[in-house]
This record gives sequence, structure tokens and C-alpha cells, in this order.
Amino acid sequence: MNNQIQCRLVQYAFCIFMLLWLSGVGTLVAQEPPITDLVFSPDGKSLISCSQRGIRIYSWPHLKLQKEKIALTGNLHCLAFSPDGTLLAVGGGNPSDDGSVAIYKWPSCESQFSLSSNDDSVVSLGWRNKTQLVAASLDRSLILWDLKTQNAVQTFLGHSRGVTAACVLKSGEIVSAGHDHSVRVWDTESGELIRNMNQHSKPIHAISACPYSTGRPLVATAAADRSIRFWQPTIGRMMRYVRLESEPLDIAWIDKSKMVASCTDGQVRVVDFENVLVSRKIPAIQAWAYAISVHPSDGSIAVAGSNGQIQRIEL
Amino acid sequence: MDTPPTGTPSKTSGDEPIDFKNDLIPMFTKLGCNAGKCHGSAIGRGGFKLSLYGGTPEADYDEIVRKLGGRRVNLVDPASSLVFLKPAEIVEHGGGAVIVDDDLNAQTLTKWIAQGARYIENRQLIRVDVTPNRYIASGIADETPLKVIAHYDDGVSRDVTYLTKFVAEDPSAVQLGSNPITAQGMRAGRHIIIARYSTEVIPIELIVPHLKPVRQLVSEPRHNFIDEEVFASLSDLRLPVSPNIPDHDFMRRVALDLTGRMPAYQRVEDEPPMDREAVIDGLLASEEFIEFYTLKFAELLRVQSKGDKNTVTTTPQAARGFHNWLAEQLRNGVGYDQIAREIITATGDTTHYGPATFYTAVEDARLQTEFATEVFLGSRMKCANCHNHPLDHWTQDDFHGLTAIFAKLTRSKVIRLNPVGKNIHPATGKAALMKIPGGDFLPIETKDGRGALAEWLTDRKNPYFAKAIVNRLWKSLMGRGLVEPVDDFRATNPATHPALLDRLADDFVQHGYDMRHTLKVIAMSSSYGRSSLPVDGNESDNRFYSHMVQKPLSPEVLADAISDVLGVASRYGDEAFGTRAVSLRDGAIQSESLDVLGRCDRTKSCEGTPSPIGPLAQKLHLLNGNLLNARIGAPSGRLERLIQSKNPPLTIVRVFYEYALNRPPNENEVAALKRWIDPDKPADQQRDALEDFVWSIVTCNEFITNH
Repeated sequence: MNNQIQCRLVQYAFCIFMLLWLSGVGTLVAQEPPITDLVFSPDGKSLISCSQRGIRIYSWPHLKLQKEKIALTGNLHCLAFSPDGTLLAVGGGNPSDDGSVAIYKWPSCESQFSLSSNDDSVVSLGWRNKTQLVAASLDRSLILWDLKTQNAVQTFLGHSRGVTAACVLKSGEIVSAGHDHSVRVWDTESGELIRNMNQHSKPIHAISACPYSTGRPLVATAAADRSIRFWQPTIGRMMRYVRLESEPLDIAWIDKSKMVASCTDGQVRVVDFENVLVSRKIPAIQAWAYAISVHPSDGSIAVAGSNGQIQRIEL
Repeated sequence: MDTPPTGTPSKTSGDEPIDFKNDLIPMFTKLGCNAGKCHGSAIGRGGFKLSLYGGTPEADYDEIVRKLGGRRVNLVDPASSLVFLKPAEIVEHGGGAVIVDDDLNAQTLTKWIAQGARYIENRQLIRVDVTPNRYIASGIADETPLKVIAHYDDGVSRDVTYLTKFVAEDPSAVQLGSNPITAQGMRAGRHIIIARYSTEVIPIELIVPHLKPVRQLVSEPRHNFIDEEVFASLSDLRLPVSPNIPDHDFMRRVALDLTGRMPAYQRVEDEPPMDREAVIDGLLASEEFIEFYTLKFAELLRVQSKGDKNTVTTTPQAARGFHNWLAEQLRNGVGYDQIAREIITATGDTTHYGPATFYTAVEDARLQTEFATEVFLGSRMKCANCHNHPLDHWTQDDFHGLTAIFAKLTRSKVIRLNPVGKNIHPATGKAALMKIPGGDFLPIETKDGRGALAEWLTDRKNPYFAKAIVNRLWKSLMGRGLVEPVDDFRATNPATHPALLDRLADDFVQHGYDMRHTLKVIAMSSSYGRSSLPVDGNESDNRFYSHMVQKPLSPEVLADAISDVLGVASRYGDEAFGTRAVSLRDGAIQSESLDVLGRCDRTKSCEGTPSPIGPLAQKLHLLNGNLLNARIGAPSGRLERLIQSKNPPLTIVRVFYEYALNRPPNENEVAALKRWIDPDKPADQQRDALEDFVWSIVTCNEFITNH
């Protein structure tokens, strides 16, 4: 109950802020940078966000700011915990200039090292195992880093425009997607392109491998063509797709048949993968909702985006 | 309200936040960022896409502030924003450095980001005034300052000269100064400068008069309002006029222009002065006029049989039916508004109802929008398919709203309503709502929007409909549209004589959209009767009617004229031998000669001005092809008949002159021809010389043009 009251308070505070903001047209009101990614800590007690201000760590479910940290320089775009939960990777960079991945110890947030080899921002991260991490960059490349040696193990080249999303399958292959509308599957060992799937008609924003699938790997992608498409990447098959009313910016799986998408209209849509429909729409924030994350255990989600807004939603 | 001096930055009241739409977007336009060759192109550039000339500021805001996780603006450190670093070329930029890191543009940009990079529109733009919008310079050295004032819905007016982009239509003719902003004509003539602020584009007319002494125009006859307007323009430019033509030249000119036929030669020296009004009335009342102007409208409306199993089909019966229907309207003197209404609202079997064929001329509803607006508005709206028109006020909603109206039709032999027909708006991905161009959306329950469209189109207040047709009629007689090309009316392509165009259109509407009336008014003007030969001082004029423009004969008219002069008819497809080219009722009827002469293929607009037998293929065809060589000496031809009748060579020459040029040969020509066609030479050599003479007369510029 306390959680719900606090959640309500956050919502009220948000509404008051929006009213002030809207009434302040014509006067100058500070504008916060957008939150570009969210991730829950492995124990579910913290929510970590990133933006141009750096990393912020909030308590969960109270969303109380606990720690703020400047990480890298320029824009931060992505966060990812290592499989064992001991390391937090943060990706970002200076647009059109450089891209880096910073590694921190968790929960101390002690900086370990940075991996920097890109000519443009790193915008998506995926851990292959506890020592290998793939970084997708707007410079059109994917780099598989070895954290022990801090060297690039493999560079995957083939996307004709920036790579915006990447994930790693349980079987080890890397799946990437980008502004060139394509979804690509890569052999991690050889670096060779295995498959190239082109059904999206506009740039792809996000990718998410289903952690609940038991058979062939299942991956979802969200794109500016307002569709979420579901793939069996290892056999190069698009299984089905759902067209939304608004552009999905980020997606996350709830269970083996449902996922949530945060959209440019600030709403969260619950997508029923089995029946290929949107089963629910939930108003979340004003303007673009760039990031969504599903809590590991309590059935709630966190949504964040424009003007530094964060919202907790009970599903 | 006081405004700052020209060329200084515009000022807003107090500490107003930077206005994204009214300050920033015009700045991007001024810098060229959202031009078609840069980020305003259809696919953007370098992954960054802006709407063309800021036509969709909301989309531009998303692109600049929101896309890619908002990485293009850095709200924590504005000077690190990509949207600043790129144009300042602090990081690599394909377009080079377009701002200096501490100039006013840079300050505006970083200040806007520091203020939160918000979408703020402090006020709505109502209109923009440019001063001067027409300037008659005293000479080439005369430099005039330009000033642009924007007026907004809250009563504020401000100087936006600094935020306005000025582009000379012909950069070699106009020099634009930057500080302060000025314009200077570099040579005599009328020059256009386009001023672009926000979504508004305003033409500025800069007139640099000729310096040579000019004949007094006051004494020139003025037959009607056309002459008043034409002379006003000539007076501004100090252009002298060529003299009026004699009656026999006028006869040839007006007969070709109104009927597409050479007149029979008359020895006018012995006749009293011609009653030109009676001649014009007679021609306009003739069946030949109906035939010729039906051809013109059939070309405009792309009447021809076409199609296969994969395309929209127009049957030969449907093409002929539409042609016959057009002829009937002209024969009955039906007003152009009524003709347009019937065409726009046509439904039914194209085989039996001609106007329905309008909907089988093109393949789909979007092409129908382009086609219909070219025909009835004289406007090229197709740019607005992909984005708001960059050079006019048509929006993407206008284009797709009109397309939504046409999408409610089936396109087949029978034109009928299709209730499920829709047009997907590319900007929304959803079915576009029916909309009148530049006007309102139609109620969602509207089943057939064509009635409302036809009403709007033919409304007396419609600013395009009457002008588009009178401009075409003007061109058919005067050789050049007041707006040229005639299907390209837009804010940035102003008429050479705007007041004249207005008066012609008003007169046309007041006389019941009667095309014969307008043609007569034009033909009766002294401007129409002017010689095509330039005089000292007006040689370079090709648009102010100081002398008549030489008009190439259209392929059909030329083919018929050749047949008439040679006395040998042509065959077109399966049509009866002797059928005239201008009377062909189907543009698809096979004819190699017409193809080579450059006839309109009617699959697209044919309103460009053809050059007089310009392309090499046409010249070769006239040199070696059957159009002439097989017919000049034909046994049944005029030349052979004249030779067989034992006419002396000079008599034969005179006959051909009268048939082809509507005049006898002059003394110099007779002298030259005497040397060429020597009567003492053997008969076969004389025949060769006469054949060469006939060939030369039907290929000479005087014959193949109306002048």
C-alpha cells in the first residue's frame, strides 16, 4: 500500500510539474535532458537511468534519487548489467566523434575502465557472457569486447547505416538492427553475417530477445514504421508483426507471450505476441518514452523519456 | 510600429524565448540547411532529415530534439550540441561551415538550446510584406534596399529581413547585397527575386529599363484593356514597339491561330482595308475553329486510346466519344465552367459518355490529382505528394485530400463510385480525408467529393481556374503565356503582366466563361497585330510583346499545311484518305510523320513550347523523309499539275508563294529565283529546280512558323 501511495505522489508531482511546464510557455522553465535508457539492478531494489546528465540511481519502488554519477562525456544511450550482476556497462559518446563503453562495479559504482574504439556513439549493449560484451554504434559497426583483455575480439561490419540495437542469443549469435531497416544475425566466432532480414520499412529503434522462449530463439524488434516484428533469427523467419498507433521506441518482454512497448506518444502498449494485438494502452509520460524496463520480480515496469520523466507503472 | 533597420536581426519583445517556428526554422532556411540539396532532400542527408524549407516544423522539431535519443541537442552543455557543432564545422560537416561559432545564428541556436530546446511558437504568422515588391530602377547602378515585415496574429509586426532568404531567379542578372540587404539589376529587363520567410514565398519584381531612346508609345493605338496593360509594361521598360502588320499578314496569322489553316490568298492591294473584327468573328464561327480547338483541348485532356490488360484502358470508342463531346461543347458555345463541371463529376460508361474518359487518362488517383490540377488550376501540385510544396502554398494535405476524392472512383471502362477507395497519406500512414485544395476538409460521410470540388473549382472567386484557361488562350494567340509554363502557376512564378491576367480572367468570367469572347478580345488588340520583326531596341524582348513572338506551327497544323501546299493528302492510320491531321479524334492513331514532327503523345503534359523543327530527327525527316520527298513530285500533286498545264516556272513559283506564304514573291526573291530556275534549261533540270524550290518553301522559317 505504501508503494502505491508513493507511486500516486510521484504521479501527482508529475502532473503539477506538467501543469507548470505547460503554463510556463512564454516563460523560461528548465528542461531536463531525456532519459535514454533504464535498467533494474539484479536485486530489483534500484533503477538506474542514463541521460546527458550521467547515471542516476533511484530506489525502487520509491523512485528516490540515491546516487548521481557523471559517466563518460557527451550523451549516454544504454545500460546493461553483466549476467552475474557484478558489472554495469554504460554506452554513449560524443555524436559524430567518438563512442565508448564504461564499465562499473556494481553496487559500488566504482569505475573500472572504458572501451573506446568507435567513431560515433554507442547506443546499444548486450552481454554475451560475463566477460564479453557487444556494443552497437551509430558508426555502423558492432564490436565484441573482451573485458579481460579490454580488446575488441570481433568487429561486425555490414550495416549500411548506424546500428541502433543489438542482443545476444542464448546460442551465442549476435542479432543487430539499425537505421538501414535490416535485422542481421552474426556468427560471433567468424564475424560473418549469417542472415539479413529486411521486412521493416523504416529505421529500427530497439531489439529484445525473449528470455522465456524454450524452443528456437525468439527476438522482437520495434521500428519507426510503427511495427513490432517477431523473428526466429536463427532460421531467418519473421513470424508475425503488430502495427501500433504510435512509434515504439523501446520494448521489453513481460512473459513468453506478452511484451511492453514505450512509444512516442508517451504511452505504454502491452502487446500480445500470441494473438498479435495490443491488449492494453497505458498513459505513462508526456512526449517521447524512450526507455522501458520490466522489474525482475514485482510485476511492475519503469518508463522514462523526454524532460527526464520517469514513471512507475503497475501492470 | 517601429522596426529595426533593414538587415539587422529581428527583435522580439523583452526576453521572449526563442521561437522555434518563427525564428529558428527561418534561420535554417536562410542558411540553406533545409534546402533540397541538403537536409531538406527527400531522404535527408547524413541521416538528418528536415522538411523542405521548414514546411513541417513539428517534424523538424522531432528530428532535431527528439530523435536518436535527443543526441542532437545537449541540454547540459548547449555548445556541445551536434546541431551546433555540425554547421559550425567543429565536427566534420558535408555542407562546410555555415555559421561562425559566435555569430548571431550561432548565438540564437545555442541560446535556444540553453532555454530548453523547446517547441515554442509565440505567435502565428499571418502575412509577410516585402518592400519594395516591385521596383523600377533608374538604371543599372540603382541599388535598392529590401525589407521584409512579418505580421502575426497577436498584432505584432517585426522586421524579419535578416531571417529572409533572397534568391534571384537569374543570379547573373541581379546582384544581392548582404549588409544591408539590397538588390541591384545587372542588365536591362524584368528580373524576379524570391523572398522566402517561414512558409511564405514572395516574388519581388525588379525592372531595369533600357537606356536607348524609345519611340513615343502614347501615339500607339489602344484597342482594348490588353493594350493599356501591355503598353504600361513596355513604357516601364522603355521598350519600343514594332509596327502593326498589314492585312494579308494579319489574315494568315489569325487564320492559323484560330483555325489551324492557311487562308486562301487574296490580292489585298486591290481591296479596301480589311474589317478585322468581321474576319475574327467569321473564323470563330467556323467549323474549322471547332475542329482546331477541339484538338487543343483533346491534347490538354490527353484524349487517346490506350491500355492493355495491366493498365487502365481507354478504348478507341471512348477516345473518339470524348473528342466528339468536346467538339459538341465548342460548337454549342458551352461555357468553360460548365465543361469543367461535367468532366470533373463524370460517371458512367466511357464508351457512351465522353467526359468519363477523363478518369481513364492516368493510372491512379495520385496521378489524377496531378493531371486535374495541371489542367484546371494550371498548377503543378505533384511536389506536395511528398512534402508541402516548396515554391507555393499547396500542402501535403491538399494533395492527398484531393487524391482522396479521386480515390473514390473505379478506373475502368465504366467510371463508378468506389465506397472503399482510399488514399493513404504518407505522413500519417492513414487514409487521407477528402479536402478541397487550400480549403476545408469535406465531411467524413461524404461519398463523392467531386461535386464540392467542381463547385469550388468553378466558383467565380476561384483564383486559379479562370486565369489558367485565359492564360492558355493567350498563349495560343500570343505565343507565350503571361505565366509560363502555362501549367506552372505558383507564387514564385509570377505573371509577366499580373494586372492584365487579372483583367482577362475577370472579363472571361463576366462573359460567361466564353472562350470565343476571350480569343476575340485578344485578337482585336493592337498588341496581337504587331509585327514579329524586331526594331532597334526590342530585339532581345521575348515576353513583353513589343513584337510578336514567332510561333512554330503545331505538328498537325504543319502536316496539314504541307498537304495543302503540295496538293497531296496524307493518310493517318485507318482514317479515310484526306482526313486532316487536326481532325483526328484519337491521339493514338498511327502516323510516323506526326510523330517525327513532334506531336503530343498525350501520356503527359505537352505544354512546353516546341522548337520549330528543332530535333535532328525532324530535320532529317524533312530533308530525306517521305513527308516531303515522296510528295513534292507526286503525279497528282500541285507541282506536277502546274507543270503539265504548261505554266511558266515563275507562275508556278508565284502559286506556291501564295499557297504557302500567303503573299507573292518580292522583287529580290523573283530575281534570285529567275537565276535558279533558268527557263532555257532542259525540262528535267527545270523540274529538279522547281522541286528544290518547293522543298525550300515548305521548310523555310516563314512557312513553318506563324509570325
